[in-house]
Amino acid sequence: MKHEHYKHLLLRVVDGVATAEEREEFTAHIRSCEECHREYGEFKNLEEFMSAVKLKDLSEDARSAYWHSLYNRLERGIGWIFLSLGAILLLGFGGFMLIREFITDPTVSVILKIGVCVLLAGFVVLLVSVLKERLFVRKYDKYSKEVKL
Amino acid sequence: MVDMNTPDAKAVSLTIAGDKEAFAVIVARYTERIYRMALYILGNEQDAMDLSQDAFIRAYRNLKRFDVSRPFFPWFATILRNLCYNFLRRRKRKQTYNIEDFQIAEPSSPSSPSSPCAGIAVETKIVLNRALSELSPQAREIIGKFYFEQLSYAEIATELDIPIGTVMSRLYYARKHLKDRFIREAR
Repeated sequence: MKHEHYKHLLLRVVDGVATAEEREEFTAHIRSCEECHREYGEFKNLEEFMSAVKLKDLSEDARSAYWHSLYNRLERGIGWIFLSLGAILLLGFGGFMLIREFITDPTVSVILKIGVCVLLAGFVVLLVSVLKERLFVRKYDKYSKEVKL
Repeated sequence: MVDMNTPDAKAVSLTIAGDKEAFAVIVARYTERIYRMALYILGNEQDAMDLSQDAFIRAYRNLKRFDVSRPFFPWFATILRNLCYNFLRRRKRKQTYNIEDFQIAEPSSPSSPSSPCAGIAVETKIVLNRALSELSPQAREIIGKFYFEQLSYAEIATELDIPIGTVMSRLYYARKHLKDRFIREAR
Protein backbone atom coordinates (compact mmCIF):
# COMPACT_ATOMS: atom_id res chain seq x y z
CA MET A 1 0.00 0.00 0.00
CA LYS A 2 1.48 3.32 -1.06
CA HIS A 3 -0.54 5.55 1.20
CA GLU A 4 1.07 5.73 4.64
CA HIS A 5 -1.88 7.61 6.10
CA TYR A 6 -4.42 5.05 4.92
CA LYS A 7 -2.25 2.21 6.15
CA HIS A 8 -2.86 3.29 9.78
CA LEU A 9 -6.45 4.12 9.01
CA LEU A 10 -6.97 0.68 7.50
CA LEU A 11 -5.88 -0.98 10.75
CA ARG A 12 -8.10 1.26 12.83
CA VAL A 13 -11.07 0.43 10.62
CA VAL A 14 -10.33 -3.31 10.58
CA ASP A 15 -9.88 -3.31 14.38
CA GLY A 16 -13.08 -1.34 14.88
CA VAL A 17 -11.44 1.55 16.72
CA ALA A 18 -11.81 4.18 13.98
CA THR A 19 -14.09 7.16 14.57
CA ALA A 20 -17.11 7.74 12.32
CA GLU A 21 -15.18 10.41 10.40
CA GLU A 22 -12.19 8.12 9.92
CA ARG A 23 -14.42 5.31 8.67
CA GLU A 24 -16.08 7.69 6.27
CA GLU A 25 -12.75 8.96 4.99
CA PHE A 26 -11.46 5.42 4.51
CA THR A 27 -14.63 4.23 2.79
CA ALA A 28 -14.41 7.17 0.38
CA HIS A 29 -10.76 6.36 -0.30
CA ILE A 30 -11.25 2.67 -1.07
CA ARG A 31 -14.00 3.52 -3.55
CA SER A 32 -11.35 5.09 -5.75
CA CYS A 33 -8.31 3.01 -4.73
CA GLU A 34 -8.37 -0.58 -5.84
CA GLU A 35 -5.15 -1.47 -4.02
CA CYS A 36 -6.44 -0.30 -0.65
CA HIS A 37 -9.79 -1.93 -1.29
CA ARG A 38 -8.14 -5.29 -1.95
CA GLU A 39 -5.82 -4.91 1.03
CA TYR A 40 -8.78 -4.07 3.26
CA GLY A 41 -10.55 -7.29 2.22
CA GLU A 42 -7.42 -9.35 2.85
CA PHE A 43 -6.92 -7.84 6.29
CA LYS A 44 -10.54 -8.55 7.16
CA ASN A 45 -9.99 -12.19 6.22
CA LEU A 46 -6.87 -12.34 8.34
CA GLU A 47 -8.78 -10.94 11.31
CA GLU A 48 -11.48 -13.54 10.85
CA PHE A 49 -8.86 -16.27 10.91
CA MET A 50 -6.80 -14.90 13.79
CA SER A 51 -9.88 -14.39 15.95
CA ALA A 52 -10.36 -18.17 15.77
CA VAL A 53 -6.81 -18.87 17.00
CA LYS A 54 -6.32 -19.20 20.73
CA LEU A 55 -3.52 -20.34 22.96
CA LYS A 56 -4.32 -23.07 25.47
CA ASP A 57 -4.10 -22.00 29.11
CA LEU A 58 -1.53 -23.71 31.29
CA SER A 59 -3.14 -26.61 33.14
CA GLU A 60 -3.11 -26.80 36.95
CA ASP A 61 -0.59 -29.65 36.70
CA ALA A 62 1.66 -27.60 34.44
CA ARG A 63 1.46 -24.63 36.83
CA SER A 64 2.30 -26.82 39.79
CA ALA A 65 5.21 -28.46 37.94
CA TYR A 66 6.41 -24.98 36.92
CA TRP A 67 6.55 -23.75 40.51
CA HIS A 68 8.31 -26.90 41.77
CA SER A 69 10.87 -26.71 39.00
CA LEU A 70 11.45 -23.01 39.67
CA TYR A 71 11.80 -23.58 43.44
CA ASN A 72 14.30 -26.39 42.88
CA ARG A 73 16.32 -24.25 40.50
CA LEU A 74 16.43 -21.44 43.06
CA GLU A 75 17.69 -23.87 45.71
CA ARG A 76 20.22 -25.39 43.33
CA GLY A 77 21.49 -21.91 42.48
CA ILE A 78 22.74 -21.43 46.06
CA GLY A 79 24.38 -24.88 45.91
CA TRP A 80 26.14 -23.97 42.67
CA ILE A 81 27.53 -20.76 44.16
CA PHE A 82 29.09 -22.64 47.11
CA LEU A 83 30.33 -25.41 44.84
CA SER A 84 31.94 -22.93 42.44
CA LEU A 85 33.58 -20.95 45.24
CA GLY A 86 34.96 -24.11 46.83
CA ALA A 87 36.22 -25.41 43.48
CA ILE A 88 37.92 -22.08 42.65
CA LEU A 89 39.65 -22.01 46.04
CA LEU A 90 40.81 -25.63 45.83
CA LEU A 91 41.93 -25.44 42.21
CA GLY A 92 43.70 -22.12 42.81
CA PHE A 93 45.55 -23.47 45.84
CA GLY A 94 46.35 -26.79 44.13
CA GLY A 95 47.61 -24.99 41.01
CA PHE A 96 49.78 -22.65 43.07
CA MET A 97 51.33 -25.55 45.04
CA LEU A 98 51.97 -27.50 41.86
CA ILE A 99 53.70 -24.62 40.12
CA ARG A 100 55.79 -23.80 43.19
CA GLU A 101 56.86 -27.43 43.45
CA PHE A 102 57.68 -27.52 39.77
CA ILE A 103 59.69 -24.25 39.74
CA THR A 104 61.72 -25.18 42.82
CA ASP A 105 62.41 -28.73 41.64
CA PRO A 106 66.21 -28.87 40.81
CA THR A 107 65.77 -31.99 38.67
CA VAL A 108 63.60 -30.18 36.11
CA SER A 109 65.54 -28.48 33.32
CA VAL A 110 65.48 -24.68 33.05
CA ILE A 111 64.15 -24.87 29.45
CA LEU A 112 61.16 -26.87 30.63
CA LYS A 113 60.54 -24.41 33.47
CA ILE A 114 60.68 -21.47 31.04
CA GLY A 115 58.38 -23.31 28.64
CA VAL A 116 55.78 -23.97 31.32
CA CYS A 117 56.01 -20.38 32.60
CA VAL A 118 55.50 -18.98 29.06
CA LEU A 119 52.58 -21.36 28.56
CA LEU A 120 51.00 -20.18 31.81
CA ALA A 121 51.62 -16.53 30.92
CA GLY A 122 49.89 -17.10 27.56
CA PHE A 123 46.96 -18.72 29.32
CA VAL A 124 46.65 -15.80 31.74
CA VAL A 125 46.79 -13.24 28.88
CA LEU A 126 44.10 -15.14 26.98
CA LEU A 127 41.93 -15.39 30.09
CA VAL A 128 42.25 -11.65 30.77
CA SER A 129 41.50 -10.90 27.10
CA VAL A 130 38.36 -13.04 27.13
CA LEU A 131 37.23 -11.42 30.38
CA LYS A 132 37.84 -7.95 28.92
CA GLU A 133 35.89 -8.85 25.79
CA ARG A 134 33.01 -10.18 27.86
CA LEU A 135 32.91 -6.99 29.90
CA PHE A 136 33.23 -4.84 26.79
CA VAL A 137 30.45 -6.64 24.95
CA ARG A 138 28.26 -6.38 28.01
CA LYS A 139 28.95 -2.66 28.30
CA TYR A 140 28.10 -1.93 24.67
CA ASP A 141 25.41 -4.53 24.26
CA LYS A 142 22.54 -2.87 22.40
CA TYR A 143 20.13 -4.23 24.99
CA SER A 144 22.27 -3.22 27.96
CA LYS A 145 20.16 -0.13 28.58
CA GLU A 146 17.19 -2.39 29.06
CA VAL A 147 18.97 -5.04 31.12
CA LYS A 148 19.96 -3.21 34.24
CA LEU A 149 20.82 -6.31 36.20
CA MET B 1 0.13 -13.12 55.70
CA VAL B 2 0.13 -12.94 51.91
CA ASP B 3 -2.47 -14.07 49.40
CA MET B 4 -3.32 -13.44 45.75
CA ASN B 5 -4.81 -10.04 46.67
CA THR B 6 -1.57 -8.78 48.16
CA PRO B 7 -0.29 -5.86 46.02
CA ASP B 8 2.94 -6.40 44.08
CA ALA B 9 4.87 -3.81 46.08
CA LYS B 10 4.04 -5.51 49.37
CA ALA B 11 4.76 -8.99 48.00
CA VAL B 12 8.12 -7.75 46.73
CA SER B 13 9.00 -6.12 50.08
CA LEU B 14 8.06 -9.31 51.94
CA THR B 15 10.13 -11.42 49.51
CA ILE B 16 13.13 -9.19 50.11
CA ALA B 17 12.58 -9.71 53.85
CA GLY B 18 12.83 -13.46 53.25
CA ASP B 19 9.19 -14.49 52.95
CA LYS B 20 9.13 -17.31 50.39
CA GLU B 21 5.32 -17.39 50.40
CA ALA B 22 5.32 -13.83 49.09
CA PHE B 23 7.54 -14.87 46.18
CA ALA B 24 5.22 -17.80 45.50
CA VAL B 25 2.38 -15.28 45.16
CA ILE B 26 4.38 -13.27 42.61
CA VAL B 27 5.14 -16.45 40.67
CA ALA B 28 1.50 -17.60 40.73
CA ARG B 29 0.35 -14.18 39.59
CA TYR B 30 2.69 -13.85 36.62
CA THR B 31 3.49 -17.42 35.51
CA GLU B 32 0.96 -17.55 32.70
CA ARG B 33 1.65 -14.05 31.44
CA ILE B 34 5.43 -14.30 31.46
CA TYR B 35 5.43 -17.81 29.99
CA ARG B 36 3.23 -16.67 27.12
CA MET B 37 5.40 -13.66 26.49
CA ALA B 38 8.45 -15.92 26.22
CA LEU B 39 6.46 -18.23 23.97
CA TYR B 40 5.58 -15.42 21.53
CA ILE B 41 9.20 -14.37 21.26
CA LEU B 42 10.83 -17.81 21.18
CA GLY B 43 8.14 -19.92 19.54
CA ASN B 44 9.08 -23.03 21.46
CA GLU B 45 7.39 -24.30 24.60
CA GLN B 46 10.46 -25.79 26.29
CA ASP B 47 12.62 -22.70 25.70
CA ALA B 48 9.76 -20.51 26.91
CA MET B 49 9.47 -22.61 30.07
CA ASP B 50 13.22 -22.43 30.77
CA LEU B 51 13.70 -18.74 30.03
CA SER B 52 10.60 -17.61 31.89
CA GLN B 53 11.94 -19.49 34.92
CA ASP B 54 15.34 -17.85 34.40
CA ALA B 55 13.56 -14.49 34.46
CA PHE B 56 11.91 -15.32 37.79
CA ILE B 57 15.26 -16.43 39.22
CA ARG B 58 17.01 -13.29 38.00
CA ALA B 59 14.23 -11.07 39.31
CA TYR B 60 14.35 -12.86 42.69
CA ARG B 61 18.10 -12.32 43.01
CA ASN B 62 17.82 -8.65 42.05
CA LEU B 63 14.65 -7.64 43.88
CA LYS B 64 16.67 -5.39 46.19
CA ARG B 65 17.49 -3.24 43.18
CA PHE B 66 13.85 -2.88 42.17
CA ASP B 67 12.16 0.41 43.03
CA VAL B 68 8.95 -0.69 44.79
CA SER B 69 7.27 2.64 44.03
CA ARG B 70 7.17 1.59 40.35
CA PRO B 71 5.00 -1.13 38.80
CA PHE B 72 6.57 -4.57 39.01
CA PHE B 73 5.53 -6.20 35.74
CA PRO B 74 7.25 -3.85 33.23
CA TRP B 75 10.54 -4.30 35.13
CA PHE B 76 10.09 -8.04 35.19
CA ALA B 77 9.04 -8.17 31.52
CA THR B 78 12.19 -6.28 30.55
CA ILE B 79 14.31 -8.94 32.26
CA LEU B 80 12.52 -11.66 30.33
CA ARG B 81 12.62 -9.81 27.03
CA ASN B 82 16.36 -9.35 27.26
CA LEU B 83 16.97 -12.92 28.28
CA CYS B 84 15.01 -14.02 25.22
CA TYR B 85 16.76 -11.65 22.80
CA ASN B 86 20.18 -12.63 24.14
CA PHE B 87 19.22 -16.28 23.83
CA LEU B 88 18.10 -15.82 20.22
CA ARG B 89 21.27 -13.92 19.33
CA ARG B 90 23.49 -16.58 20.88
CA ARG B 91 21.67 -19.42 19.18
CA LYS B 92 23.56 -20.01 15.95
CA ARG B 93 20.95 -21.95 14.04
CA LYS B 94 17.55 -20.41 13.45
CA GLN B 95 14.91 -22.51 15.09
CA THR B 96 11.51 -22.91 13.53
CA TYR B 97 8.58 -21.55 15.43
CA ASN B 98 6.72 -24.54 16.78
CA ILE B 99 3.82 -23.86 19.10
CA GLU B 100 1.69 -26.92 19.72
CA ASP B 101 -0.63 -25.01 22.04
CA PHE B 102 -2.49 -23.18 19.28
CA GLN B 103 -6.17 -23.99 19.22
CA ILE B 104 -7.87 -23.13 15.97
CA ALA B 105 -11.65 -22.97 16.02
CA GLU B 106 -13.73 -23.58 12.92
CA PRO B 107 -14.92 -20.32 11.32
CA SER B 108 -18.53 -19.38 12.08
CA SER B 109 -19.27 -18.54 8.44
CA PRO B 110 -17.92 -19.97 5.21
CA SER B 111 -15.16 -17.94 3.61
CA SER B 112 -14.20 -17.15 0.08
CA PRO B 113 -11.62 -19.45 -1.53
CA SER B 114 -8.91 -16.81 -1.25
CA SER B 115 -9.62 -16.30 2.43
CA PRO B 116 -6.99 -17.51 4.89
CA CYS B 117 -9.85 -19.27 6.71
CA ALA B 118 -10.50 -21.57 3.79
CA GLY B 119 -9.63 -25.20 4.44
CA ILE B 120 -8.74 -24.95 8.11
CA ALA B 121 -6.98 -28.18 8.95
CA VAL B 122 -4.08 -29.52 10.94
CA GLU B 123 -1.82 -27.93 8.35
CA THR B 124 -3.07 -24.49 9.34
CA LYS B 125 -1.14 -24.73 12.58
CA ILE B 126 2.00 -25.52 10.62
CA VAL B 127 1.41 -22.59 8.28
CA LEU B 128 0.76 -20.25 11.19
CA ASN B 129 3.95 -21.40 12.93
CA ARG B 130 5.88 -20.97 9.70
CA ALA B 131 4.50 -17.48 9.13
CA LEU B 132 5.34 -16.46 12.70
CA SER B 133 8.89 -17.89 12.34
CA GLU B 134 9.53 -15.43 9.55
CA LEU B 135 8.75 -12.42 11.72
CA SER B 136 11.28 -10.67 13.94
CA PRO B 137 11.05 -11.49 17.68
CA GLN B 138 9.76 -7.94 18.28
CA ALA B 139 7.02 -8.38 15.70
CA ARG B 140 6.07 -11.78 17.12
CA GLU B 141 5.77 -10.29 20.57
CA ILE B 142 3.46 -7.55 19.30
CA ILE B 143 1.36 -10.08 17.38
CA GLY B 144 1.06 -12.23 20.51
CA LYS B 145 0.02 -9.34 22.69
CA PHE B 146 -2.48 -8.12 20.13
CA TYR B 147 -4.14 -11.38 19.10
CA PHE B 148 -3.69 -13.73 22.04
CA GLU B 149 -3.76 -11.31 24.99
CA GLN B 150 -6.08 -8.98 23.11
CA LEU B 151 -4.35 -5.84 24.32
CA SER B 152 -5.17 -2.49 22.74
CA TYR B 153 -2.62 -0.39 20.84
CA ALA B 154 -2.24 1.85 23.89
CA GLU B 155 -1.73 -1.08 26.27
CA ILE B 156 0.92 -2.58 23.99
CA ALA B 157 2.64 0.81 23.72
CA THR B 158 2.73 1.09 27.53
CA GLU B 159 3.99 -2.47 28.02
CA LEU B 160 6.74 -2.13 25.45
CA ASP B 161 7.48 1.49 26.27
CA ILE B 162 7.26 2.58 22.62
CA PRO B 163 5.08 5.22 20.91
CA ILE B 164 1.62 4.14 19.78
CA GLY B 165 2.53 5.00 16.17
CA THR B 166 5.39 2.48 16.35
CA VAL B 167 2.98 -0.15 17.66
CA MET B 168 0.62 0.48 14.76
CA SER B 169 3.40 0.47 12.24
CA ARG B 170 4.90 -2.80 13.55
CA LEU B 171 1.45 -4.34 13.74
CA TYR B 172 0.69 -3.32 10.19
CA TYR B 173 3.81 -4.91 8.73
CA ALA B 174 3.55 -8.04 10.90
CA ARG B 175 -0.08 -8.58 9.97
CA LYS B 176 0.64 -7.82 6.33
CA HIS B 177 3.31 -10.50 6.38
CA LEU B 178 0.89 -13.00 7.94
CA LYS B 179 -1.88 -12.30 5.44
CA ASP B 180 0.50 -12.47 2.46
CA ARG B 181 1.87 -15.76 3.75
CA PHE B 182 -1.61 -17.21 4.16
CA ILE B 183 -2.62 -16.08 0.69
CA ARG B 184 0.52 -17.68 -0.80
CA GLU B 185 -0.15 -20.92 1.09
CA ALA B 186 -3.80 -20.96 -0.02
CA ARG B 187 -2.80 -20.86 -3.71
